[in-house]
Amino acid sequence: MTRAELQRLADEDLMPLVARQDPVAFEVFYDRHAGAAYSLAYRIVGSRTAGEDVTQEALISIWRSGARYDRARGSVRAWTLGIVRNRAIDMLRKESGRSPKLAAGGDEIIERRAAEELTDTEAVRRETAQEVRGAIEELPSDQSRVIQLAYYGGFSHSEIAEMLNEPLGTIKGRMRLGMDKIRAALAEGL
Amino acid sequence: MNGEHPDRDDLVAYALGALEPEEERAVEAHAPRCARCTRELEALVPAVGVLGESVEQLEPPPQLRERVLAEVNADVERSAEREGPAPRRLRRGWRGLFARPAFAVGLAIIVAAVGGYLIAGNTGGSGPEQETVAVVPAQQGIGGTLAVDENSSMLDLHGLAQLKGEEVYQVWVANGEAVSPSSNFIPDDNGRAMTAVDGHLPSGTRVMVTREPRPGLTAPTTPVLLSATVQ
Repeated sequence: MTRAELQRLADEDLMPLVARQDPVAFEVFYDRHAGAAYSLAYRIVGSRTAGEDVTQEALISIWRSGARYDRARGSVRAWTLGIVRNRAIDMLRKESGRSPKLAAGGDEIIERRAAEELTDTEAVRRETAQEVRGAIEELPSDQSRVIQLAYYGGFSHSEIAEMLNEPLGTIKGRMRLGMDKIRAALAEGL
Repeated sequence: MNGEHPDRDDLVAYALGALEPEEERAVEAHAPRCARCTRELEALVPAVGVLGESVEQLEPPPQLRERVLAEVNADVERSAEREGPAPRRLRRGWRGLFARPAFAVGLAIIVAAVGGYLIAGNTGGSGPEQETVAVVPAQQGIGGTLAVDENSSMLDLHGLAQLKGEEVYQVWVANGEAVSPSSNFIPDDNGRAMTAVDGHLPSGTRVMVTREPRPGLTAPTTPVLLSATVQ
């Protein structure tokens, strides 16, 4: 299959070829998802170098594991980002005492490219992310905070309860309410 | 746990990776045998997925791509050595050069940007039949490599602007005063392209790329965007 043909495949049809160790299929996979993977890794670990390392480790693990993707686990993008998130949290935990980066820093700006330099694909990716971010930002701050501490910070609900000096049940409830609202927003098409 | 089933709060926390290890193990022991909890966890997958997608989107550095694909290439090569006949190699293996020490080759190629600024000078090769230079983009914009084989060469470019209408990128081969058209191409959505330059390229041959208003022209009508001179 030519590169052009591979580029026309849906993610779900591309992954079996990656699983068969087709390097060109993997390259197409990389070009589709590396940007989102790097963005998430950077968000969690808070440095460009560590973000690159996490992204590289996660994507190579997909290549070497035979890409055990299962459609039942959601989209290829979500599955990939789950792997990236786990790698990033592992790195944070190894570096004991290091605080997760929980707010967008000004230094991210240096990596942003001017809108006019973006390809169409990148522009769509960023627009989608912005829409999703907007939906999450509409959550009450106490719900958004516990979700962010858990997902991007890698803290357990017990650790979050201790950190915020709130009862564990309160933290659990905020997580559930916040995630229910995100689900509802998704059901309404954001 | 709520009787036999985990609390819904715990399933949400599990989906977010926020349970303590022993609580996590309890959910993992129960859920696969429980249709109700499995359904609940599956319903949470998209909501957790959007958390990963909602972050500020950044441009990954080009060298990350080179490093990842170099590892992939190295795996393919190791696999080929173990298994005999080679599987399809990625880009003839030249991406892997970024991860290997450069070694001397008999043929040097200089790739220069418009205006004669040197943007490359790192030579390497993947075998006796092919000589390759890895080009590090020296400016925001176009960069790439030219790999020269005995009877066919390959340009691998990135940072190319998207084309409009009938426009194409045109490759030209110059020997002395004579300039002849070679292949033309359209980059992918990420501004990348690979294109073959057919025929033997003797020393002194200059390979150039221009952006032309349409295919089929017999001489360049726009400034040279990139050139590579075989020495």
